[in-house]
Amino acid sequence: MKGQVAFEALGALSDGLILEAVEVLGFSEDASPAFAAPRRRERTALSRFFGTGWGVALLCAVVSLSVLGGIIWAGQRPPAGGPGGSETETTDYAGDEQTEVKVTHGDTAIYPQRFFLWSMNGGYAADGLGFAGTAANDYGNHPSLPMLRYAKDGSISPCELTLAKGYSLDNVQVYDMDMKVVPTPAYDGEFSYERFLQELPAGRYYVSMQIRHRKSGYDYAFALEVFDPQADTATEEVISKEEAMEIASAYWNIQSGETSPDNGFTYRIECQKTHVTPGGETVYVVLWRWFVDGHHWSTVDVIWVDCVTGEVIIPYENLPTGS
Amino acid sequence: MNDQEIISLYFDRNEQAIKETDTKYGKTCMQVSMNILHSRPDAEECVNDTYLKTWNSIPPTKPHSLCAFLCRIIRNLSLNRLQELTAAKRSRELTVSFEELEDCIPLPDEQSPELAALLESFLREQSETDRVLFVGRYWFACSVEELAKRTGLTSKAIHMRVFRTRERLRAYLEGRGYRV
Repeated sequence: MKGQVAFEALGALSDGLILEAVEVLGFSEDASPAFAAPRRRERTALSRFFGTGWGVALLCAVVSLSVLGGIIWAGQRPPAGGPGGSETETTDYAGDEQTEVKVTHGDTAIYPQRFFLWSMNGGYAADGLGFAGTAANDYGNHPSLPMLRYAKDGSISPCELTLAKGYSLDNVQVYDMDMKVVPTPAYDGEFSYERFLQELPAGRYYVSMQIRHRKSGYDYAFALEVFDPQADTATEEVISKEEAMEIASAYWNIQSGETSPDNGFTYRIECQKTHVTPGGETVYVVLWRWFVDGHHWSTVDVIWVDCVTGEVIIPYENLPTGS
Repeated sequence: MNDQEIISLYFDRNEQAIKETDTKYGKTCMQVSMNILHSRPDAEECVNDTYLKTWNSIPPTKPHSLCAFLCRIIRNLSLNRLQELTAAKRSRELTVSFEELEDCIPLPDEQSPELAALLESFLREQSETDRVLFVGRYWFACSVEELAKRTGLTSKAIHMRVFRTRERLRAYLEGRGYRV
Protein backbone atom coordinates (compact mmCIF):
# COMPACT_ATOMS: atom_id res chain seq x y z
CA MET A 1 0.00 0.00 0.00
CA LYS A 2 2.82 2.36 0.93
CA GLY A 3 4.51 1.45 -2.30
CA GLN A 4 1.42 2.27 -4.30
CA VAL A 5 1.21 5.64 -2.57
CA ALA A 6 4.80 6.31 -3.56
CA PHE A 7 4.08 5.20 -7.10
CA GLU A 8 1.25 7.67 -7.31
CA ALA A 9 3.35 10.41 -5.63
CA LEU A 10 5.86 10.07 -8.44
CA GLY A 11 3.15 11.37 -10.73
CA ALA A 12 4.23 14.89 -9.76
CA LEU A 13 7.53 14.58 -11.64
CA SER A 14 8.27 17.42 -14.02
CA ASP A 15 7.68 17.34 -17.76
CA GLY A 16 11.41 17.40 -18.34
CA LEU A 17 12.04 14.07 -16.61
CA ILE A 18 9.05 12.47 -18.31
CA LEU A 19 10.11 13.66 -21.76
CA GLU A 20 13.69 12.54 -21.18
CA ALA A 21 12.54 9.03 -20.40
CA VAL A 22 10.14 8.99 -23.38
CA GLU A 23 12.97 10.01 -25.67
CA VAL A 24 15.66 7.72 -24.30
CA LEU A 25 13.41 4.68 -23.94
CA GLY A 26 11.82 5.27 -27.35
CA PHE A 27 8.19 4.83 -26.35
CA SER A 28 7.02 6.01 -29.73
CA GLU A 29 8.40 2.79 -31.25
CA ASP A 30 6.31 -0.34 -31.58
CA ALA A 31 5.42 -2.07 -28.36
CA SER A 32 7.88 -4.76 -27.45
CA PRO A 33 7.10 -8.47 -27.32
CA ALA A 34 7.31 -8.20 -23.54
CA PHE A 35 3.60 -7.48 -23.60
CA ALA A 36 2.90 -11.00 -24.80
CA ALA A 37 1.62 -13.29 -22.10
CA PRO A 38 4.34 -15.67 -20.92
CA ARG A 39 4.22 -19.06 -22.58
CA ARG A 40 3.02 -21.61 -20.14
CA ARG A 41 4.54 -25.01 -20.59
CA GLU A 42 2.43 -28.00 -19.71
CA ARG A 43 3.85 -29.74 -16.69
CA THR A 44 3.78 -33.48 -16.46
CA ALA A 45 2.92 -35.29 -13.28
CA LEU A 46 6.62 -35.95 -12.79
CA SER A 47 7.55 -32.29 -13.13
CA ARG A 48 4.69 -31.34 -10.80
CA PHE A 49 6.10 -33.81 -8.27
CA PHE A 50 9.56 -32.32 -8.61
CA GLY A 51 8.01 -28.92 -8.08
CA THR A 52 6.86 -29.94 -4.62
CA GLY A 53 8.98 -29.83 -1.50
CA TRP A 54 9.37 -33.61 -1.36
CA GLY A 55 10.33 -33.69 -5.01
CA VAL A 56 12.92 -30.99 -4.52
CA ALA A 57 14.36 -32.73 -1.46
CA LEU A 58 14.57 -36.03 -3.33
CA LEU A 59 16.24 -34.39 -6.30
CA CYS A 60 18.71 -32.58 -4.04
CA ALA A 61 19.61 -35.83 -2.33
CA VAL A 62 20.04 -37.73 -5.59
CA VAL A 63 22.17 -35.08 -7.25
CA SER A 64 24.24 -34.42 -4.12
CA LEU A 65 25.04 -38.11 -3.75
CA SER A 66 25.84 -38.33 -7.44
CA VAL A 67 28.14 -35.36 -7.29
CA LEU A 68 29.82 -36.70 -4.17
CA GLY A 69 30.27 -40.03 -5.88
CA GLY A 70 31.75 -38.29 -8.85
CA ILE A 71 34.18 -36.34 -6.67
CA ILE A 72 35.33 -39.45 -4.87
CA TRP A 73 35.62 -41.34 -8.14
CA ALA A 74 37.49 -38.52 -9.84
CA GLY A 75 39.86 -38.21 -6.92
CA GLN A 76 40.77 -41.83 -7.23
CA ARG A 77 41.50 -41.64 -10.95
CA PRO A 78 45.10 -41.51 -11.99
CA PRO A 79 46.20 -38.41 -13.88
CA ALA A 80 44.95 -38.78 -17.43
CA GLY A 81 47.10 -37.97 -20.38
CA GLY A 82 44.81 -36.84 -23.16
CA PRO A 83 44.94 -38.52 -26.47
CA GLY A 84 46.55 -35.45 -27.94
CA GLY A 85 49.74 -35.50 -25.90
CA SER A 86 51.38 -37.67 -23.28
CA GLU A 87 52.73 -34.64 -21.43
CA THR A 88 49.25 -33.43 -20.58
CA GLU A 89 48.24 -34.06 -17.04
CA THR A 90 44.86 -33.36 -15.60
CA THR A 91 44.05 -33.15 -11.97
CA ASP A 92 40.52 -33.03 -10.75
CA TYR A 93 39.67 -32.03 -7.28
CA ALA A 94 36.92 -30.30 -5.41
CA GLY A 95 38.32 -26.98 -4.37
CA ASP A 96 36.98 -24.52 -1.86
CA GLU A 97 33.37 -23.55 -1.40
CA GLN A 98 33.43 -22.05 -4.88
CA THR A 99 33.99 -25.56 -6.19
CA GLU A 100 36.78 -24.71 -8.52
CA VAL A 101 38.42 -27.40 -10.51
CA LYS A 102 41.98 -26.94 -11.65
CA VAL A 103 43.54 -28.53 -14.64
CA THR A 104 47.26 -28.67 -15.14
CA HIS A 105 49.14 -28.82 -18.40
CA GLY A 106 52.63 -30.00 -17.62
CA ASP A 107 53.80 -27.70 -14.83
CA THR A 108 51.38 -24.93 -15.71
CA ALA A 109 48.15 -24.55 -13.82
CA ILE A 110 45.36 -23.67 -16.17
CA TYR A 111 42.78 -21.29 -14.83
CA PRO A 112 39.96 -22.86 -12.95
CA GLN A 113 36.84 -23.83 -14.74
CA ARG A 114 33.60 -23.50 -12.97
CA PHE A 115 29.99 -24.08 -13.68
CA PHE A 116 26.85 -23.69 -11.68
CA LEU A 117 23.85 -25.90 -11.89
CA TRP A 118 20.48 -24.89 -10.66
CA SER A 119 16.91 -25.61 -11.58
CA MET A 120 14.58 -23.20 -13.26
CA ASN A 121 11.59 -24.68 -11.47
CA GLY A 122 11.37 -26.44 -8.17
CA GLY A 123 13.77 -24.41 -6.09
CA TYR A 124 16.71 -26.77 -6.21
CA ALA A 125 20.18 -25.28 -6.36
CA ALA A 126 23.70 -26.51 -5.98
CA ASP A 127 27.15 -25.59 -7.12
CA GLY A 128 28.20 -28.16 -9.64
CA LEU A 129 31.63 -29.34 -10.60
CA GLY A 130 33.31 -29.40 -13.94
CA PHE A 131 35.37 -32.43 -14.69
CA ALA A 132 37.96 -33.13 -17.29
CA GLY A 133 37.40 -36.55 -18.69
CA THR A 134 38.25 -38.56 -21.69
CA ALA A 135 35.28 -40.82 -22.25
CA ALA A 136 31.67 -40.06 -22.97
CA ASN A 137 30.26 -42.21 -20.20
CA ASP A 138 32.65 -41.40 -17.39
CA TYR A 139 29.88 -40.10 -15.22
CA GLY A 140 27.08 -42.39 -16.18
CA ASN A 141 26.17 -43.01 -12.57
CA HIS A 142 24.46 -39.61 -12.39
CA PRO A 143 22.98 -38.98 -15.80
CA SER A 144 21.28 -35.80 -14.68
CA LEU A 145 24.61 -34.00 -14.48
CA PRO A 146 25.99 -32.55 -17.67
CA MET A 147 29.64 -33.25 -18.16
CA LEU A 148 32.23 -30.79 -19.28
CA ARG A 149 35.56 -31.74 -20.65
CA TYR A 150 38.51 -30.10 -22.18
CA ALA A 151 39.63 -30.76 -25.69
CA LYS A 152 41.81 -33.72 -26.34
CA ASP A 153 45.07 -31.81 -26.22
CA GLY A 154 44.26 -30.37 -22.80
CA SER A 155 43.79 -26.77 -23.93
CA ILE A 156 40.98 -24.71 -22.51
CA SER A 157 39.37 -23.76 -25.77
CA PRO A 158 37.46 -25.56 -27.14
CA CYS A 159 35.59 -27.06 -24.26
CA GLU A 160 33.30 -29.92 -25.05
CA LEU A 161 29.95 -30.31 -23.43
CA THR A 162 28.29 -33.68 -23.49
CA LEU A 163 24.72 -34.05 -22.42
CA ALA A 164 23.23 -37.22 -21.10
CA LYS A 165 20.40 -38.87 -22.97
CA GLY A 166 17.13 -37.05 -22.70
CA TYR A 167 18.58 -33.60 -22.28
CA SER A 168 18.43 -30.79 -24.79
CA LEU A 169 20.33 -27.56 -24.86
CA ASP A 170 18.50 -24.30 -25.21
CA ASN A 171 18.66 -20.58 -24.58
CA VAL A 172 22.40 -20.29 -24.81
CA GLN A 173 23.80 -16.88 -24.07
CA VAL A 174 27.38 -15.81 -23.76
CA TYR A 175 28.42 -12.81 -21.72
CA ASP A 176 31.82 -11.22 -21.64
CA MET A 177 33.21 -10.03 -18.36
CA ASP A 178 31.69 -6.62 -18.96
CA MET A 179 28.33 -8.40 -18.72
CA LYS A 180 27.56 -7.59 -22.35
CA VAL A 181 25.81 -10.26 -24.35
CA VAL A 182 28.11 -11.67 -27.01
CA PRO A 183 26.43 -12.63 -30.27
CA THR A 184 26.63 -16.40 -30.68
CA PRO A 185 26.13 -18.39 -33.82
CA ALA A 186 23.11 -20.62 -34.09
CA TYR A 187 23.78 -24.09 -32.82
CA ASP A 188 22.45 -27.26 -34.29
CA GLY A 189 23.02 -29.88 -31.68
CA GLU A 190 24.73 -30.63 -28.45
CA PHE A 191 28.21 -30.62 -29.91
CA SER A 192 27.94 -27.21 -31.50
CA TYR A 193 28.77 -25.78 -28.09
CA GLU A 194 32.36 -26.70 -28.84
CA ARG A 195 32.30 -24.90 -32.15
CA PHE A 196 31.00 -21.61 -30.92
CA LEU A 197 33.48 -21.54 -28.09
CA GLN A 198 36.19 -21.89 -30.68
CA GLU A 199 34.83 -18.88 -32.51
CA LEU A 200 35.07 -16.58 -29.49
CA PRO A 201 38.03 -14.22 -29.50
CA ALA A 202 40.58 -14.57 -26.73
CA GLY A 203 39.23 -13.44 -23.41
CA ARG A 204 36.99 -14.50 -20.59
CA TYR A 205 33.36 -15.38 -20.95
CA TYR A 206 30.47 -16.40 -18.86
CA VAL A 207 28.12 -18.73 -20.64
CA SER A 208 24.64 -19.44 -19.47
CA MET A 209 22.27 -21.89 -21.02
CA GLN A 210 19.24 -23.92 -20.30
CA ILE A 211 19.37 -27.67 -20.25
CA ARG A 212 16.00 -29.26 -20.42
CA HIS A 213 15.15 -32.80 -19.46
CA ARG A 214 12.63 -33.71 -22.11
CA LYS A 215 10.73 -36.29 -20.14
CA SER A 216 10.17 -34.42 -16.91
CA GLY A 217 10.19 -30.97 -18.46
CA TYR A 218 12.63 -30.03 -15.72
CA ASP A 219 14.92 -27.20 -16.68
CA TYR A 220 18.43 -26.52 -15.47
CA ALA A 221 20.14 -23.23 -15.93
CA PHE A 222 23.79 -23.71 -16.47
CA ALA A 223 26.70 -21.32 -16.40
CA LEU A 224 30.25 -21.86 -17.48
CA GLU A 225 33.28 -19.64 -17.28
CA VAL A 226 35.57 -20.09 -20.21
CA PHE A 227 39.12 -18.97 -19.80
CA ASP A 228 41.80 -18.55 -22.37
CA PRO A 229 45.09 -18.41 -20.50
CA GLN A 230 46.84 -16.79 -23.45
CA ALA A 231 44.55 -13.79 -23.13
CA ASP A 232 45.50 -13.15 -19.54
CA THR A 233 49.03 -11.91 -19.83
CA ALA A 234 49.36 -9.94 -16.68
CA THR A 235 52.34 -7.66 -16.67
CA GLU A 236 53.33 -6.41 -13.27
CA GLU A 237 50.89 -7.51 -10.57
CA VAL A 238 51.51 -5.12 -7.76
CA ILE A 239 48.12 -5.71 -6.15
CA SER A 240 47.39 -9.22 -4.95
CA LYS A 241 44.03 -10.89 -5.36
CA GLU A 242 43.36 -10.49 -1.66
CA GLU A 243 44.22 -6.79 -1.81
CA ALA A 244 41.88 -6.37 -4.77
CA MET A 245 39.09 -7.92 -2.74
CA GLU A 246 39.84 -5.56 0.15
CA ILE A 247 39.69 -2.61 -2.22
CA ALA A 248 36.36 -3.85 -3.58
CA SER A 249 35.07 -4.43 -0.07
CA ALA A 250 35.89 -0.83 0.84
CA TYR A 251 34.40 0.45 -2.41
CA TRP A 252 31.08 -1.29 -1.84
CA ASN A 253 31.30 -0.92 1.94
CA ILE A 254 30.43 -4.56 2.49
CA GLN A 255 32.18 -7.68 3.77
CA SER A 256 31.76 -11.26 2.65
CA GLY A 257 29.37 -12.99 4.99
CA GLU A 258 27.33 -9.90 5.75
CA THR A 259 23.66 -9.91 4.92
CA SER A 260 21.63 -7.37 3.01
CA PRO A 261 19.50 -5.17 5.29
CA ASP A 262 16.73 -5.22 2.68
CA ASN A 263 16.28 -8.90 2.06
CA GLY A 264 18.70 -10.82 4.28
CA PHE A 265 20.64 -12.25 1.34
CA THR A 266 24.20 -13.18 2.24
CA TYR A 267 26.95 -11.27 0.49
CA ARG A 268 30.08 -12.72 -1.02
CA ILE A 269 32.96 -10.96 -2.73
CA GLU A 270 34.64 -13.01 -5.41
CA CYS A 271 37.80 -12.12 -7.20
CA GLN A 272 38.42 -13.74 -10.53
CA LYS A 273 41.72 -13.71 -12.23
CA THR A 274 43.09 -11.01 -14.40
CA HIS A 275 41.59 -9.55 -17.49
CA VAL A 276 43.09 -7.27 -20.09
CA THR A 277 40.75 -4.37 -20.81
CA PRO A 278 40.30 -2.82 -24.22
CA GLY A 279 42.46 0.01 -22.92
CA GLY A 280 45.31 -2.38 -22.23
CA GLU A 281 45.09 -2.34 -18.45
CA THR A 282 45.39 -5.59 -16.57
CA VAL A 283 42.69 -5.76 -13.96
CA TYR A 284 41.16 -8.12 -11.46
CA VAL A 285 37.49 -8.76 -12.08
CA VAL A 286 35.76 -8.60 -8.71
CA LEU A 287 32.16 -9.55 -8.19
CA TRP A 288 29.75 -8.64 -5.42
CA ARG A 289 27.31 -11.51 -5.22
CA TRP A 290 24.43 -12.39 -2.98
CA PHE A 291 22.65 -15.65 -2.23
CA VAL A 292 19.12 -15.24 -3.50
CA ASP A 293 16.35 -16.90 -1.48
CA GLY A 294 18.70 -19.67 -0.36
CA HIS A 295 18.65 -20.74 -3.98
CA HIS A 296 21.54 -19.46 -6.03
CA TRP A 297 24.28 -16.87 -6.13
CA SER A 298 23.49 -13.84 -8.21
CA THR A 299 25.74 -10.94 -9.12
CA VAL A 300 24.86 -7.54 -7.67
CA ASP A 301 27.76 -5.59 -9.09
CA VAL A 302 31.07 -6.04 -10.82
CA ILE A 303 34.14 -3.82 -10.80
CA TRP A 304 37.64 -4.00 -12.12
CA VAL A 305 40.62 -3.34 -9.89
CA ASP A 306 43.75 -2.28 -11.70
CA CYS A 307 46.49 -4.78 -10.91
CA VAL A 308 49.17 -2.11 -10.82
CA THR A 309 47.53 0.95 -9.33
CA GLY A 310 44.64 -0.59 -7.37
CA GLU A 311 42.28 1.86 -9.05
CA VAL A 312 38.63 0.85 -9.21
CA ILE A 313 37.24 0.90 -12.74
CA ILE A 314 33.52 0.63 -13.47
CA PRO A 315 33.27 -1.67 -16.50
CA TYR A 316 29.66 -0.81 -17.44
CA GLU A 317 29.85 2.97 -17.20
CA ASN A 318 29.85 3.61 -20.94
CA LEU A 319 27.17 1.14 -21.95
CA PRO A 320 24.74 2.48 -24.57
CA THR A 321 21.47 3.86 -23.23
CA GLY A 322 19.70 5.19 -26.30
CA SER A 323 16.84 3.39 -28.00
CA MET B 1 2.94 18.26 -37.08
CA ASN B 2 4.60 19.75 -34.02
CA ASP B 3 2.97 20.06 -30.60
CA GLN B 4 2.07 23.73 -30.97
CA GLU B 5 0.25 23.08 -34.22
CA ILE B 6 -1.69 20.22 -32.67
CA ILE B 7 -2.59 22.37 -29.65
CA SER B 8 -3.80 25.06 -32.03
CA LEU B 9 -6.17 22.53 -33.56
CA TYR B 10 -7.57 21.87 -30.09
CA PHE B 11 -8.06 25.57 -29.54
CA ASP B 12 -9.85 25.79 -32.91
CA ARG B 13 -12.01 22.83 -31.81
CA ASN B 14 -10.90 21.03 -34.93
CA GLU B 15 -11.39 17.28 -34.55
CA GLN B 16 -8.27 16.73 -36.62
CA ALA B 17 -6.48 17.44 -33.35
CA ILE B 18 -7.44 14.00 -32.03
CA LYS B 19 -6.21 12.27 -35.17
CA GLU B 20 -2.93 14.14 -35.11
CA THR B 21 -2.51 13.33 -31.41
CA ASP B 22 -3.12 9.67 -32.09
CA THR B 23 -0.69 9.66 -34.99
CA LYS B 24 2.08 11.26 -33.00
CA TYR B 25 1.54 9.91 -29.49
CA GLY B 26 -0.81 6.97 -29.85
CA LYS B 27 1.94 4.38 -29.43
CA THR B 28 3.44 6.19 -26.48
CA CYS B 29 0.11 6.36 -24.68
CA MET B 30 -0.57 2.73 -25.43
CA GLN B 31 2.84 1.77 -24.10
CA VAL B 32 2.32 3.63 -20.83
CA SER B 33 -1.11 2.13 -20.30
CA MET B 34 -0.05 -1.41 -21.21
CA ASN B 35 2.81 -1.22 -18.70
CA ILE B 36 0.25 -0.65 -15.96
CA LEU B 37 -2.75 -2.64 -17.10
CA HIS B 38 -1.20 -5.45 -19.19
CA SER B 39 -4.49 -5.73 -21.00
CA ARG B 40 -4.91 -4.40 -24.51
CA PRO B 41 -8.69 -3.83 -24.31
CA ASP B 42 -8.35 -1.91 -21.04
CA ALA B 43 -5.39 0.04 -22.38
CA GLU B 44 -7.26 0.99 -25.55
CA GLU B 45 -10.14 2.20 -23.44
CA CYS B 46 -7.78 4.32 -21.36
CA VAL B 47 -6.19 5.76 -24.49
CA ASN B 48 -9.58 6.76 -25.83
CA ASP B 49 -10.48 8.29 -22.48
CA THR B 50 -7.21 10.18 -22.59
CA TYR B 51 -8.09 11.73 -25.92
CA LEU B 52 -11.51 12.70 -24.59
CA LYS B 53 -10.03 14.21 -21.47
CA THR B 54 -7.45 16.07 -23.54
CA TRP B 55 -10.19 17.42 -25.82
CA ASN B 56 -12.10 18.61 -22.76
CA SER B 57 -8.99 20.12 -21.14
CA ILE B 58 -7.57 22.06 -24.08
CA PRO B 59 -8.58 24.86 -23.92
CA PRO B 60 -8.31 26.43 -21.41
CA THR B 61 -5.21 24.43 -20.51
CA LYS B 62 -2.31 25.04 -22.83
CA PRO B 63 0.37 22.48 -21.99
CA HIS B 64 4.02 23.22 -22.54
CA SER B 65 4.62 19.68 -23.64
CA LEU B 66 1.75 17.75 -25.18
CA CYS B 67 3.62 14.47 -24.74
CA ALA B 68 4.12 14.91 -21.00
CA PHE B 69 0.53 16.15 -20.66
CA LEU B 70 -0.80 13.02 -22.35
CA CYS B 71 1.52 10.74 -20.36
CA ARG B 72 0.24 12.15 -17.09
CA ILE B 73 -3.38 11.71 -18.10
CA ILE B 74 -2.94 8.17 -19.38
CA ARG B 75 -0.93 7.18 -16.33
CA ASN B 76 -3.56 8.49 -13.93
CA LEU B 77 -6.42 6.96 -15.89
CA SER B 78 -4.61 3.64 -16.05
CA LEU B 79 -3.95 3.65 -12.31
CA ASN B 80 -7.61 4.46 -11.66
CA ARG B 81 -8.62 1.68 -13.99
CA LEU B 82 -6.25 -0.69 -12.24
CA GLN B 83 -7.90 0.06 -8.92
CA GLU B 84 -11.28 -0.73 -10.42
CA LEU B 85 -10.14 -4.14 -11.56
CA THR B 86 -10.26 -7.04 -9.11
CA ALA B 87 -7.13 -8.02 -7.10
CA ALA B 88 -6.86 -11.27 -9.07
CA LYS B 89 -6.49 -9.39 -12.30
CA ARG B 90 -3.88 -7.05 -10.94
CA SER B 91 -0.52 -7.27 -12.58
CA ARG B 92 2.11 -8.99 -10.49
CA GLU B 93 4.76 -6.93 -12.23
CA LEU B 94 3.20 -3.71 -11.03
CA THR B 95 2.89 -5.11 -7.52
CA VAL B 96 6.60 -5.79 -7.60
CA SER B 97 7.23 -2.17 -8.62
CA PHE B 98 5.11 -0.97 -5.70
CA GLU B 99 6.95 -3.18 -3.23
CA GLU B 100 10.34 -2.02 -4.44
CA LEU B 101 9.42 1.57 -3.59
CA GLU B 102 8.27 0.78 -0.07
CA ASP B 103 11.73 0.84 1.45
CA CYS B 104 12.85 4.10 -0.03
CA ILE B 105 9.94 6.48 0.49
CA PRO B 106 8.63 7.88 3.77
CA LEU B 107 5.65 6.64 5.70
CA PRO B 108 2.36 8.00 4.33
CA ASP B 109 1.80 10.33 7.27
CA GLU B 110 5.14 12.00 6.60
CA GLN B 111 4.60 12.77 2.95
CA SER B 112 4.41 16.45 2.14
CA PRO B 113 4.26 18.66 -0.94
CA GLU B 114 8.01 19.09 -0.56
CA LEU B 115 8.52 15.37 -1.12
CA ALA B 116 7.72 15.70 -4.82
CA ALA B 117 10.27 18.51 -5.13
CA LEU B 118 12.85 16.43 -3.26
CA LEU B 119 12.24 13.47 -5.53
CA GLU B 120 12.73 15.76 -8.49
CA SER B 121 15.96 17.24 -7.19
CA PHE B 122 17.27 13.80 -6.22
CA LEU B 123 16.64 12.45 -9.68
CA ARG B 124 18.29 15.44 -11.31
CA GLU B 125 21.46 14.65 -9.35
CA GLN B 126 21.64 11.13 -10.77
CA SER B 127 23.29 10.11 -14.00
CA GLU B 128 21.09 10.11 -17.06
CA THR B 129 21.12 6.33 -17.18
CA ASP B 130 20.09 5.90 -13.56
CA ARG B 131 17.49 8.63 -13.84
CA VAL B 132 15.91 7.23 -16.98
CA LEU B 133 15.86 3.73 -15.55
CA PHE B 134 14.25 4.93 -12.32
CA VAL B 135 11.61 6.96 -14.13
CA GLY B 136 11.05 4.15 -16.61
CA ARG B 137 10.61 1.61 -13.83
CA TYR B 138 8.56 3.61 -11.34
CA TRP B 139 6.76 6.24 -13.42
CA PHE B 140 6.16 4.35 -16.63
CA ALA B 141 5.98 0.99 -14.76
CA CYS B 142 8.19 -0.72 -17.32
CA SER B 143 9.32 -4.23 -16.55
CA VAL B 144 13.03 -4.84 -16.20
CA GLU B 145 12.98 -6.88 -19.39
CA GLU B 146 11.32 -4.04 -21.26
CA LEU B 147 13.95 -1.62 -20.01
CA ALA B 148 16.68 -4.06 -21.00
CA LYS B 149 15.35 -4.26 -24.55
CA ARG B 150 15.04 -0.51 -24.84
CA THR B 151 18.37 0.45 -23.32
CA GLY B 152 20.65 -2.38 -24.38
CA LEU B 153 21.63 -3.03 -20.78
CA THR B 154 21.30 -6.49 -19.29
CA SER B 155 18.49 -7.23 -16.85
CA LYS B 156 21.06 -7.81 -14.11
CA ALA B 157 22.64 -4.42 -14.69
CA ILE B 158 19.24 -2.75 -14.56
CA HIS B 159 18.26 -4.57 -11.37
CA MET B 160 21.52 -3.45 -9.81
CA ARG B 161 21.22 0.14 -11.01
CA VAL B 162 17.64 0.71 -9.82
CA PHE B 163 18.47 -1.05 -6.55
CA ARG B 164 21.37 1.33 -5.94
CA THR B 165 19.30 4.31 -6.96
CA ARG B 166 16.65 3.30 -4.44
CA GLU B 167 19.36 2.97 -1.79
CA ARG B 168 20.63 6.45 -2.61
CA LEU B 169 17.10 7.84 -2.55
CA ARG B 170 16.50 6.38 0.86
CA ALA B 171 19.74 7.89 2.17
CA TYR B 172 18.87 11.20 0.52
CA LEU B 173 15.45 11.38 2.16
CA GLU B 174 16.72 10.19 5.54
CA GLY B 175 19.40 12.88 5.37
CA ARG B 176 16.65 15.43 5.02
CA GLY B 177 14.74 14.30 8.03
CA TYR B 178 12.29 11.83 6.54
CA ARG B 179 11.74 8.51 8.21
CA VAL B 180 11.81 5.70 5.67
